Amino acid sequence: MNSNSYLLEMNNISKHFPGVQALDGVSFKLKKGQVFAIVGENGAGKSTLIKILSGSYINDTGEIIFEGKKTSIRNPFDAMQLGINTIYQETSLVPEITVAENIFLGRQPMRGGKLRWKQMYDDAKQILSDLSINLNPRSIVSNLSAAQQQLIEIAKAFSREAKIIIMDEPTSAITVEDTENLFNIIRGIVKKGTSVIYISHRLKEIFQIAEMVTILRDGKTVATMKVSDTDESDIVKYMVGRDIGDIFGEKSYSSSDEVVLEANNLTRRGVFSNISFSLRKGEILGFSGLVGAGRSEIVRAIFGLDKLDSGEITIAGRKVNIKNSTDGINKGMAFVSEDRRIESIIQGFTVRENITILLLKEIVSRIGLISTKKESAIAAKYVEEFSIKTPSIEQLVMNLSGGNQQKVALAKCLSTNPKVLILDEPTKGIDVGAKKEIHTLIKELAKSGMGVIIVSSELPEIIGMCHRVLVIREGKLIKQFGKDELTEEGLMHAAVGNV
Amino acid sequence: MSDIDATARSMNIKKGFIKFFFSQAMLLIMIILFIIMSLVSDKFFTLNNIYNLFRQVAILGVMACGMTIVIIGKGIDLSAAAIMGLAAVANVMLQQYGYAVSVIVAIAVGVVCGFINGYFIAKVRANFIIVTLATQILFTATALIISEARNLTSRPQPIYSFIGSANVFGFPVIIIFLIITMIITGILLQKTIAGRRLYAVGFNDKAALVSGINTSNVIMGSYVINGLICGIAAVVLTSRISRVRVGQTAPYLFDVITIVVLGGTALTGGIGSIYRTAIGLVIFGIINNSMAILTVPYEYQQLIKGIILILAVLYDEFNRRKRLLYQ
Repeated sequence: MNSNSYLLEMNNISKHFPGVQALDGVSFKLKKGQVFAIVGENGAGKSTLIKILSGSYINDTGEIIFEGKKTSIRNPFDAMQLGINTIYQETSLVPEITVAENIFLGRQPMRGGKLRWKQMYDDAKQILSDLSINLNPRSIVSNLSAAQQQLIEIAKAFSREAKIIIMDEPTSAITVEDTENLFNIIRGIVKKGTSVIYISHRLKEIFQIAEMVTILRDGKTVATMKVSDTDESDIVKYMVGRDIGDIFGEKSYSSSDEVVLEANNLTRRGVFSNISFSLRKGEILGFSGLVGAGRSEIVRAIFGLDKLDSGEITIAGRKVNIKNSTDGINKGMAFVSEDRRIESIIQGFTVRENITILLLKEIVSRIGLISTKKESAIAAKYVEEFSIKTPSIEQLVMNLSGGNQQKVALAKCLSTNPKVLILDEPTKGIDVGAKKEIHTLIKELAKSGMGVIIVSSELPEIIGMCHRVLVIREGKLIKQFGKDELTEEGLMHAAVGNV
Repeated sequence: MSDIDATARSMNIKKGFIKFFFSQAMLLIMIILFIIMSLVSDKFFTLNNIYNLFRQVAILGVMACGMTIVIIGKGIDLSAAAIMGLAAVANVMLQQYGYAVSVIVAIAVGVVCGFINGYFIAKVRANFIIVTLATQILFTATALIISEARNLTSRPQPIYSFIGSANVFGFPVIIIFLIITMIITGILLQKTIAGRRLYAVGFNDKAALVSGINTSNVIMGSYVINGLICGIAAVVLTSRISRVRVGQTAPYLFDVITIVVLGGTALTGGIGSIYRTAIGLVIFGIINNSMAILTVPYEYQQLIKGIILILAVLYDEFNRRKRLLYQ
């Protein structure tokens, strides 16, 4: 293969769904042994493109040229035959069996109808060490972390002699060190001649790992560039089609000294201990730290979703006893979970039903029946106020984009006029445009006097939004940062224990 | 661009049609069955037979309202027929103390049974299938013990058979009773706070919990209401059949579940309505009535019922996958 020929060429790929032109003439060319990044906001067409490459969808028009030959990918099996492997955000591993069994799932070495266990473990060990993945092939997958499971997926794809590995948001659920490790392994497989198509929201990573980047917007290719010829703000500009400027803007600090929430020695055995802090009116307080450090668990316990073993909570000067989430809401708190799909909203409910679920008592008529008229009016008000993009308030929430689902979740929580708003990973998996809208909204809420707690793994978000940040490590409050002391390095050092 | 818009619009209309067709599939099947039977037999489409059709399934219809509520809450009550049996025994045995006492006690028995189910399922968090399987035997055994396994005979005074046998302006009271039960449970589900919460818990109990809903109280409530409705169904039963024997009510369970699932209330919870159950009831009623008119032997009737429940479950599964696709 000479240097001009490409491993894969996608030319003018289009895909139409009822009512949406998901892809509209997308083209890009991938070389052997290259890391190629594809970025774009949610709904830009990234997933559709991946699904065409992996055989889940068939393109309407356009051609796919693989190793110089025109080809068509009609089903996942075709993609596998060509050597195109996709690693999705949710792993497809079998949790109850070993690493080696997963790597060789469906093609275990056999002789005379008998599984050759020893050979399988030896082969797996060889593959893992080739890729410098530090894992025991005999470990049970369910005992491993998300990051380790991802590495097994890579080993599995690699052992199938994958020519192209597509990675969809590989770092969305793993920590910074794990990301570094993942990148080293990606660099290793690329050196061995495998190409990687890398999809991510995190633009910083593109600059660390990718050689080329293609930016999609509204189903079209807006730019394809060498990563070394561009920078982050350039890419963001292409993604949103406008210059969004400083992502976070001014921090308007209201100087109120009035404390809305005070936590005293909160402890949940084995999870976190002796957590004390206070939250002032109009303040945005950040909880930083690694995933699994206990940040989410602390705020969930404050809201009443988990039990506290000891400690005191005071809201607006009054000691409160919070036994469950109903108490949490009644005492003036609101909580938006990090798991939007499962916990924040009810997918099978309409926008209207989701927004009013906390307000049911206020929308019933005198005889105790729900007044659809009152309900619709409230829902319509919030849809307007938060500019939720939906065809109507009768739309099922499951049909909205992630950003709009999050706005529905926020609208629901704010309908009770809480004093304290707790947001766990408020912009996880949300595109740049909607992210900015949500950030602006949070700031306005703080300005209006609400106390806001944000738990976030995104350091720029924590630094850009918060007046004060608490770093949690292994269930303990390690350090507090004032607004002038916030740096990514400082927070990261505290989170991993180099203080 | 306008070309794309035009295609998109026509696709939307097409999608709308398909969506409407599937959402109303059971209504269409009901109408088709009705037309076919009217053509096959001249005995079918007569006022008398239509009344008869509904009289035959009225008790099932009342019970199906309660079962719909439980299934929307992502549960099922395998003891429903046993609750009705126990309440019916209590009802007949207490008729010597007057109509009001017998009715109140029957309903109270239903509520207590529902409470027992609810306690173990919602508070102890035991598996609902096993709990109701156990209480099914428990309630039936209790009925056998208190009735000493005798046949019990309802009192002959007209008040005791009013709901089951009387007509008002020539219209059977039992059908009026069924319609009222459906309207009340329908309003309960669609228009009250409790109903809305039940849908939320049934669809996604984790999100419901985060929304401050006391999920175990909601589930508890669904079983208690089902028990209450089974108690009411017992009163209807004794007003229609004068001789009550324990064990006689057992086959009702199968039919009630068939009706609810046939209507399209999802076994995965959170989706369903009394309207759907009403359509399931009419379809079931037509098939049931037709088999009698066409004198299908009993064993074949059972065979057909089994096939219908399998088809209903396939329809439920088909709907579930369609929803996943939309997600």
